[in-house]
Amino acid sequence: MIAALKRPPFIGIFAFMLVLLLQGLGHAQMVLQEKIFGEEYVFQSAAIMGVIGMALVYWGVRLNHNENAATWLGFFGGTYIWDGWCEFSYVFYAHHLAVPNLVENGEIVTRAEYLLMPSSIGVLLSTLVFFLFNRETRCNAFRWIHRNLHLPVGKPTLNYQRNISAIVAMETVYIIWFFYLFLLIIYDKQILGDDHWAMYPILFALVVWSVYLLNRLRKFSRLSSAFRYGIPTAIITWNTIEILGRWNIFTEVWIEPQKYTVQVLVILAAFITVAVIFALFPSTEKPDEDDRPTAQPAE
Amino acid sequence: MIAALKRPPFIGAIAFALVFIFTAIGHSVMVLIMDIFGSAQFLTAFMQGLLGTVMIYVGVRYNDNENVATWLGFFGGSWLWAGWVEFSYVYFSRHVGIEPMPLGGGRQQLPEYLLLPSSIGFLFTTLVFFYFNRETRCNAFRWMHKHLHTPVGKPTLNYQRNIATIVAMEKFYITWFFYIVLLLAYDKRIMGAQHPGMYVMFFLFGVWSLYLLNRLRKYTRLPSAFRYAIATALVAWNTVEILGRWRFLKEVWVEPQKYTVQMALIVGAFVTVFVIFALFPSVDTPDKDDARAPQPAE
Repeated sequence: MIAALKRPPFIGIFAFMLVLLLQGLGHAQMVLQEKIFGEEYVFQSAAIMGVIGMALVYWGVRLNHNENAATWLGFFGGTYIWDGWCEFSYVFYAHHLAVPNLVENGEIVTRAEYLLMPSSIGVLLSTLVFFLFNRETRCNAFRWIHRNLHLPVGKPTLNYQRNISAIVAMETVYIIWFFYLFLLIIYDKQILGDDHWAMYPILFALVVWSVYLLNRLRKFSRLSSAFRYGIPTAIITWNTIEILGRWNIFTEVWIEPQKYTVQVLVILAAFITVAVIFALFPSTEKPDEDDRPTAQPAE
Repeated sequence: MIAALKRPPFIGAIAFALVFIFTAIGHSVMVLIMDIFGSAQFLTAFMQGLLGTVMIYVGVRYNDNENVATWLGFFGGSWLWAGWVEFSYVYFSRHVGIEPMPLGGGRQQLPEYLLLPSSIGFLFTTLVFFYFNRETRCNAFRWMHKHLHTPVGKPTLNYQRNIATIVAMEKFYITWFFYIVLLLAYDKRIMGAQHPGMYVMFFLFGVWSLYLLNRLRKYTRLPSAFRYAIATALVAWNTVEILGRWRFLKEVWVEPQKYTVQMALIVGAFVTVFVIFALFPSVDTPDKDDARAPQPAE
């Protein structure tokens, strides 16, 4: 039984579950932070949360020789920085500029901070130029773009050691950021709207993409590389949950943790259980196909 | 005469003048795009950002030619900022209905600059990556690694920098950082343009500019002088911005239609300095502030 769990497809499934469950828990944590610290101290607590995230990333940078530790620290660091600095800077400015929530039929459908966040699209795309044209990248999506758009970026440096923690942190931040803006822009009624017919093909495309990535993820045999691949896989899948939640097909218990305490505790327990199982697994030295530097560099 | 111009301090002075003048021209380009293209301004701005991306990519392909990669990175980064970033804030500030803030005397803070500081979280988040990058040659980051006792590991031997993307991000991030610093300082609920703290800030920018200029004057190589000049000129530009805010000088670059002659002179000065700069041969001796340190930052 235990031996079977150490092999594919379970490695990939555990990695996927960890990232997916953390998306729900991240939402709950943000809501609880606002409730617990109140308007008076919520921004200080958020700033400290971001500093903790930064410290985690730095710890991972120092432990770069331990791939598992660097991957985990980068992921949690990136998640904390996102929650603390990115999310709450928009909460602050929404209050500061007195931007009202978007209300339909007496119900808040989009909070003010999420009305402001799409303004960062220029910053997102501009800074992505740096990562897209990075010849050391091992991002499968970027390498696919280099190959299929005929945009070679040069040969990677021999013996270049990746700064795993910083890379994983940015992978987490940028994928969350990208899909936040994607959803917020298509939810906007002046652009598309959540009841627009195009939402159905978008949901369909996201499901197909998730299944495609899951099918690749199930073949991974190394924890750290599975986890890194699990980040985009789970976040892309999370978009389908977000859209279904927006359509009120189910209740998003993670955004009302005070009301659905038991359910959120079950999610938390599931996360801890999977994390413990994951942490107990030994690492395999054999590189996974999707994480290996290409024999022929991307050009 | 010409031989003297090829030596320090002229190399650094010319690099500084180029970046400094271009910053003013960049303001005018944005104002002109808004005026000329009207409702098509966002499409134009998108194309401007796309052009910036293409310039950076061409620079990536010319990485073996340091001068070309540096120039393309600089212009690419500038166009990305002006096209994609500035105009995304213009678009979304109107989209969510943010009103301009009156500043008195008929002047007002535009909605896009009320919204732009909301990106402060993204600024610091993404800077984490660059700050903890062991390949960085940014003098400011290496100074912080040393003095905050946060070593990041040894740089990779024989690592070839991707010059165009690095220069683009240098221009982009320094512009972004100082925009936010000034906009936060100008905000009356935080400090305000007439607050005593502004005088302290102005003094510090002046001192910092002189410190950087003193280092820049020793440069002998064009591309490294130019990269150092980006930071120097943008820090110095803050003093101009503050003086403009205090109405000590007329910012002719934000009204290029009204001050056409003055702007034509500024563009003429830029082109002249650019030609002089482009005619200079490159020197191969690495400059002190751009060379890889014998002892890496740890």
